[in-house]
Amino acid sequence: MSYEALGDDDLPLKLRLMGLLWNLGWFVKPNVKLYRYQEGKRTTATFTDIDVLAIKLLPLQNPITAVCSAKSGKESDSAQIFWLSGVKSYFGASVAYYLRSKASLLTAKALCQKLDIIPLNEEQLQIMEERFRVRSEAVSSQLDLDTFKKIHDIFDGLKKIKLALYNYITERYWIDPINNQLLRLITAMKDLEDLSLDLGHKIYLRYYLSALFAIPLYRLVQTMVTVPSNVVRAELETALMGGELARSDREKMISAVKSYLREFAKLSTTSTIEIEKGIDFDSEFKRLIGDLSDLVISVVEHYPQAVYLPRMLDELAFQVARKPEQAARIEKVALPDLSQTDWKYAAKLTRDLLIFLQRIGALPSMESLM
Amino acid sequence: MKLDPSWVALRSIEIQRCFSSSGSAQLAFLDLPQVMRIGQIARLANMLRRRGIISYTSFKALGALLGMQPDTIEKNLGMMERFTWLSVTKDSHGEIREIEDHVPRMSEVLSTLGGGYAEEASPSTPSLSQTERASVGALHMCAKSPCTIESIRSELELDEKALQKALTLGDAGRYLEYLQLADDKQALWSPVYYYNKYDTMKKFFQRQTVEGLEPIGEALELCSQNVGTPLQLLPDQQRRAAIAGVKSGIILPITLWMPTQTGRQDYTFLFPPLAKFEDSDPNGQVYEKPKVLLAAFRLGENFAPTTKIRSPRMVVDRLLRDGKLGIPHSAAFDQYRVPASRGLLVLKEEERRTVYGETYTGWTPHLIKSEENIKALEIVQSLLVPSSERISGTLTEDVKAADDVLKQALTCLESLEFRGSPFSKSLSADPKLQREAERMALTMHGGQYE
Repeated sequence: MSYEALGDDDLPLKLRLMGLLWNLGWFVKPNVKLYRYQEGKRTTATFTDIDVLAIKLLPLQNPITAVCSAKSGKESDSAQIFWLSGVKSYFGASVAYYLRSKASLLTAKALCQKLDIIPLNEEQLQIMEERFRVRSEAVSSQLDLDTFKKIHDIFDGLKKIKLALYNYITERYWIDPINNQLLRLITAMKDLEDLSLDLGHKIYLRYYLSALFAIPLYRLVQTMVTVPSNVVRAELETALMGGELARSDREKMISAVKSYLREFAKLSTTSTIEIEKGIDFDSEFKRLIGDLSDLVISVVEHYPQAVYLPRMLDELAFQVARKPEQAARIEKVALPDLSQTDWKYAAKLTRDLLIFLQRIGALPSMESLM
Repeated sequence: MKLDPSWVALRSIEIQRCFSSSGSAQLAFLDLPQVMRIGQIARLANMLRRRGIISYTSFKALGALLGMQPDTIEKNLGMMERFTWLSVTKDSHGEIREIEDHVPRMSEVLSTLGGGYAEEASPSTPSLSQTERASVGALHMCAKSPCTIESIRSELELDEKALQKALTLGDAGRYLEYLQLADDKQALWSPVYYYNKYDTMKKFFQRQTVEGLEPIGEALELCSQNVGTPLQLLPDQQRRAAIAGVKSGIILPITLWMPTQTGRQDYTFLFPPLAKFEDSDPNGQVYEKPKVLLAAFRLGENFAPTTKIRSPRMVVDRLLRDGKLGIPHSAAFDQYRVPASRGLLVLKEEERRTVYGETYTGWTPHLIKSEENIKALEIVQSLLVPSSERISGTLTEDVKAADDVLKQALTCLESLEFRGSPFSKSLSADPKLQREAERMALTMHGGQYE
């Protein structure tokens, strides 16, 4: 995902599509690039990029992913439709939108149907916008060109200062397994605090990363809904270590490193730390697991409302992007598909998540957040 | 003596708890104001934990249950909000309508509260008075085993006036009591940890001399830290003290055996008198099954002839989750025969093929899934967690107790059974080292994005 393509002619169309999907309850991001990774390292070669990627969380289901291709002023092209079908398959997406503003789509209709792709042209998009009242709602303002420009500046600043973090959240995050997503975002949030970014930009990124964190969290919670709360911690530990086999291997490795460090500390005459305390580096991980299990239990309790969590946090990020001089207020968050009754619990979960991140040291104190 | 903040908070809770059911509460609020406040806030936090969203009226009712005055409730609410343990929602008139709970685990509550009320004054945090430090310190020392007043005085390095005041308060709150030892010396002990064993404990302690008290305290501490400690593995002096404790009834033993080439070998496992479990059933049977189960796990952990148990906690988790242990084992019959005879497990002889294609027969324990047996396993689970977390688990019982109070107008008589095992300490003071350790932990678990 990136907010790079500021001069892109297709940008207004992409924003319109994003607005439509957002209103329908999707978590949307523009310009997701797929880079080629070799031996775990990023190469400069890109596979392709997706104009809009959308994710929808549903209770007791894997998230639904939608990939969208949006080009203004272009006719439909069968090669592009086949390409989109491949991208859809790569992401395991269940929906693909093929948006071409000028296309009659009559020629593309049969192929799209065969490949399970939804074709749209300008006129159809407009009908859908009117039906779902996208243009008249305040929510559309977060996906306007002005806000996009502000977010573009924030990401531009981040890219200059910490390219690895930028690359992770814009590219690799989208193809990482959930345990890596969770842990790597925590590392990213901790690193963010040390960067010399403008405070408003930093606050935006805190919320932005929290929103990204909420997606794998929800997927993790989905596997814990029926787990008794006294077993949640053990299950979480296994899940975060990547499964039972990986956990066993990791534990062996950690144990070996600890015994090496213990021997090293004994031999080191300059060491002033107490040996047993000094090498207890995995106590931090245990603490994280403890706090995370609290969060998971809390999310399980309000599981139906947890689907709103990423968008609640995204909305807070948008508030900061629009008015960086003002603190984001959760009371001002309104999602078109969120009822008043559910709002209360969704807001609680949002605070729970932010407090969790604060307690593990990934975010600063709450006063600076909300 | 410098106490860890968690212990400051924990002892404060004990003191507050003792005074809340005594007529001398006003005296305590005058002389031990910070201690009483720590106790109130910690207990209130514990009651609120995992309640989700509650009305402000319910919050005030919970506060009143702990003896808080209306103005104190508001102050405590403000403090809990500052710690981000709570957030409040207000109506259009600015009146508090609901309270959202974000209370962390009890170990964090204790360290935050204890750290907030530091023993040493600083401009930003309130400090404990001399009398409060003396009260908390004396209770901490006496919680392990009886101590002479001289040892308390020299350990705490306090002035005589503060110490005497603390002892008077302890006597009024009944958390400190004088004791005449066998060598005619006077000592102090804390009966709060031994509700249903008060007479036995007192008689046992009265038979000791000052010199004899130390290994008894250490033996009790070892039993509390590592519940089900094998007697055979204790150091010599503590083993003798533990045997005396077993004879007098203050330490509970379970003896199991394993066959050897020449016959059989007995192994004894030691359990502290956990008032929480013993008091919860009039017949006193609730603790029996967990003791037997845990002893069987400890037998496998320490004395199994082949493939010892690496983590008893994982065994318990597996039994709770799957209802049986993973693979058949030839020694499982000997290890689990007593739990099986008590109706906890069924031992099934099963055949299994190894990865090399060979077939062998062994025993697999299957849990008999009765409510009582599951409860027994849960108790074992709670006893196997590190002592610092166990304390929070014990306090969580307060929530249930408080509910009972609301429903049945009963008084909460929950006890804390742990006497002095040290909390796990966080990393040493160097922030750079701390940071590197955090990063290392995350990296080793796959959290490095670069």
